[in-house]
Amino acid sequence: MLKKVARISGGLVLVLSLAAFATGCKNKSDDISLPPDATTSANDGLNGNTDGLPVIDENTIFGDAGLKAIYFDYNSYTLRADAIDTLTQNAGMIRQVPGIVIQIEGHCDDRGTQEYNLALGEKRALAVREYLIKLGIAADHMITISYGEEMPAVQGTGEAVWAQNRRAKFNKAM
Amino acid sequence: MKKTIKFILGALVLIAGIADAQQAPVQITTTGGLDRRIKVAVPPFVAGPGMEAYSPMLAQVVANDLDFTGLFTIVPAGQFPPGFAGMPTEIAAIDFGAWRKTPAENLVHGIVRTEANVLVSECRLYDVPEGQQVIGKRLRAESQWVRLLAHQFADEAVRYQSGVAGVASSEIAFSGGQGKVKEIYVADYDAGKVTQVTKHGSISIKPKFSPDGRKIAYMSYKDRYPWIYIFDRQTGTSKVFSKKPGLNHAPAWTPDGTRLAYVLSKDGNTEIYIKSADGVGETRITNNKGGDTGPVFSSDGQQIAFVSDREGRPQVFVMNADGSNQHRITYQGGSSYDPAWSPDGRMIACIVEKDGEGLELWAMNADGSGARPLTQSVGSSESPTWSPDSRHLMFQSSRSGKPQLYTATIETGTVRMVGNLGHLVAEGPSWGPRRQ
Repeated sequence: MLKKVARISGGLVLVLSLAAFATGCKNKSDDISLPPDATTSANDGLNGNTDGLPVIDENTIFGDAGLKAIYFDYNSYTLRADAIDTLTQNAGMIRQVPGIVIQIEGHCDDRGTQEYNLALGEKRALAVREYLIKLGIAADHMITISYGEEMPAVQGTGEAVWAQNRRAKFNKAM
Repeated sequence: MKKTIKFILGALVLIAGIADAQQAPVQITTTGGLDRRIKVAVPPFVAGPGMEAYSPMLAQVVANDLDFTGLFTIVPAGQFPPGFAGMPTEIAAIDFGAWRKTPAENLVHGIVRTEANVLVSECRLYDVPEGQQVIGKRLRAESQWVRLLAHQFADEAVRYQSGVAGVASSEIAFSGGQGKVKEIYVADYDAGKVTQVTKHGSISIKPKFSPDGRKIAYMSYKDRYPWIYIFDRQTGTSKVFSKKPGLNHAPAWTPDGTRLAYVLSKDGNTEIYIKSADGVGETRITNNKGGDTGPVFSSDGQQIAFVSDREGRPQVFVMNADGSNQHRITYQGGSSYDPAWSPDGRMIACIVEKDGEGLELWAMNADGSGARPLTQSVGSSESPTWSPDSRHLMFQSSRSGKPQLYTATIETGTVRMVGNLGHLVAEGPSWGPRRQ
């Protein structure tokens, strides 16, 4: 797994710097009551499919059945209740693949300005990262990247489209 | 990119016999409902051998440049003297008697020819009632910069009539999109000549001209992450300016070009930092729970306008360049973004998004007073940038369906599309300095 971290070459500097940053944040998680399933499954049953559960590995975690995107309200980087549920499930999966480095991508709809949306997308990614740290995911295993309004999931206008574009999604850090 | 600055600099040479060109400028205003614009006739230039193609083109560029200022109105060819068949080569042969019977108050006489493979133009502006030359310029350029001959003459004609040179010789940088790729481009202010600057095959956006026009700072994903780069037009190469973890974004030059403000998220929030253009001495300027972004310097470099959501919705704030005295200046309701500080220091333009309405271009005094909209309910406006003379704003608007560049003239409120970018999605303009 060490190899995997090293493979991100250019990103390695990022990861190391984030690790330094993360140590300063650890105390913050003390007063958070974690959902019960968030703390139980760490590192157990890594490759076990004896219960008919799918194998969670690097391929599945970034696949269709893997980490799910979360969605935001307009002009907001506050985590909604449905986002917190999704992040809790995501954290459970992430814990089953030790050493994996996750890229959290923040996206916006195309309202607001391009300039502001790059900052807003980063704030969304940072909010996700901070919550996953609270759920016990190592800070040095997550990097954030904002795409602002540059990479919409869905083209078009109207709330139905915008709602799908205001999101944070997960990718493998390269 | 060397060629972009290789045009011959011999440029503005006063033609003998026009010493009185420096007389007191005439102030032009359009107040009081009277159209006080100067009526100017710009006939095709007199063409030397092989220069015929340039003859009408140069006249058209001069006419467009003068018309753009809002200080002149162009006399149509149909109102030229009866039987007009072109300007005489000899200026002594200009028939002012015939021109006085037309509406023209000013008349342009231009000649274009080649000398040793370099284009040379002699341009004169005449006061028609007096029958007197008021400006004379001899300009030289390589043929690829032929439009600059017209732009530089137009700027001098504007200087004569208003006291401040025009901006036709300035350049703009912008992000041009085709498919999923966005590259940085440089163009004449009117998009008459467009040059692609980057070839990253990635998303490169938000170019910012250095004050001397020689460098362009921008943000790009070319190395996967959102980092800030500086493109040197002399060497034609880009160097990384900032590649901290997370977001590196929104570079803004100090007026002396020695430092840049920019946005980083490495400390867990989007905050504003400053360091020198060669990358030394990073200092954090803002520090609060809200996100701060979009810094721009005042013309004296003493203050920074920026966007912050510390009070909820994003609003424009102003602070001293050391981060002290941070205070909000926009109270239009909804959100405000994208501040741009005028080069004369007096005004700040920004984008206002009232609840349930689109993004509109506004201008206000630098203290936030006297705010007024310059666009109304036509598509979405973003990313304003001031002309060097503080008389115009350029911005992107989606009014035609996809983002394109437009100008708004402060005094008249006139909004025009910047031409000839139809094949590109054009975003995030930066208005550079005049070319000498």
